[in-house]
Amino acid sequence: MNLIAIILSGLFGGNLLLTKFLDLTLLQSVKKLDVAVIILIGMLDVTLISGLVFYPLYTYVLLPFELGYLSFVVIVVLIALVTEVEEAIVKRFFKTYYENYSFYFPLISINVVITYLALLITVSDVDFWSYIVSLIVYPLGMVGIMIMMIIYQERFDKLNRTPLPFKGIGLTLITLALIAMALIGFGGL
Amino acid sequence: MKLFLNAMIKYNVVVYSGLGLFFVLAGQQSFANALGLSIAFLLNLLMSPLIIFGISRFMDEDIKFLSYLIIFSSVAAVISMLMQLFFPVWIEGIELYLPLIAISGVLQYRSELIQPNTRLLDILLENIGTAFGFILFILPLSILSEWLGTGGLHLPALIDSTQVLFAFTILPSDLRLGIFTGPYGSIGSLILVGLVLALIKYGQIVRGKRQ
Repeated sequence: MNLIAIILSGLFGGNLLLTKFLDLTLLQSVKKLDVAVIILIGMLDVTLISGLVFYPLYTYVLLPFELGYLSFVVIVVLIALVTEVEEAIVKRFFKTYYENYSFYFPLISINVVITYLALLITVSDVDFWSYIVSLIVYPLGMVGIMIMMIIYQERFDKLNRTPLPFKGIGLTLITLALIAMALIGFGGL
Repeated sequence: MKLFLNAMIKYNVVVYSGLGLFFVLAGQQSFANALGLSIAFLLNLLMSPLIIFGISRFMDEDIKFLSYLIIFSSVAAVISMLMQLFFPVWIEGIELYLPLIAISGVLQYRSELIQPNTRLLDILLENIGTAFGFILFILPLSILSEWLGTGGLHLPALIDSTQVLFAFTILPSDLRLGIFTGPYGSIGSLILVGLVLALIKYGQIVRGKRQ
């Protein structure tokens, strides 16, 4: 697939949060911009590192030896290990960050977006560069929507006009639907 | 029975904790998909905690998280393969979601409640209740969503997609809503689930005021 098409799809038309609803739980739990940025950094490096390891592992080991059915277990373990290593590095070198954001490490290791993206090569015939671009662009698009929702939420809270039953997840989902209406149109590109 | 009902209604996994919400949104676009996902969910919730129960007393706290992940993902991968073998038509389009049940948070949430002194029957009852709570939420929504999008309901046979178990249409084509079907189906799903959750919250508020 054309790289520009992947970028447009990841950011707009095929946004994983809007079309596949991945990581709604994370969207509900992240309420601050700084946390969203930390999540983005965490997601990007875990996705990239695990994707870079998984691609050759899948292409040169799992597929030739007909072990494709192990892909899911391998990728889950790989992501958990990469997150553990990252957590250890942050704990060692960035103590203040670790104290503030350590709660989010388990959320990254069971992040469905990372797993979904890593598994893409098992269901579609993507080349290496398309795969790498997907690993970068899709989390960016997802966190972009997350940041948009945090800003909207702050404005909704300031206005204080939301009917009580819609406060929380109800309003979030309907706002997401409206954003989806605007962005899914880019899918035609 | 109280454990089962509490897990199914009072502490409904979707309404109470918001876990598994993306499965509801993804699976409710067609009745067949919702059925397929429900079966996979039930099987995962039955199998994984059974294994966890068996080995939890020998498990070291340091490796618990990683061990649970390996167990959940192995079970989900096996169930996913079984589903592709026995229910290929019902899971068409949602194949990638099935293994993701392992990391959805529902299994982690349930397994955290398993203590060495918990009775196996209680665990099973609660997990079946959790799965039925999910089914109770997703099946009516899928019926409504498919009806609004396609004008009726259609359930294909398990293996052969050209055969149908039942199919009927009751909504004329000019009244059908495009946002509930095809590439725009996600928009309808988000609106419908958002409205239903708001309605449930409204019910809870009214009941709270009465009490």
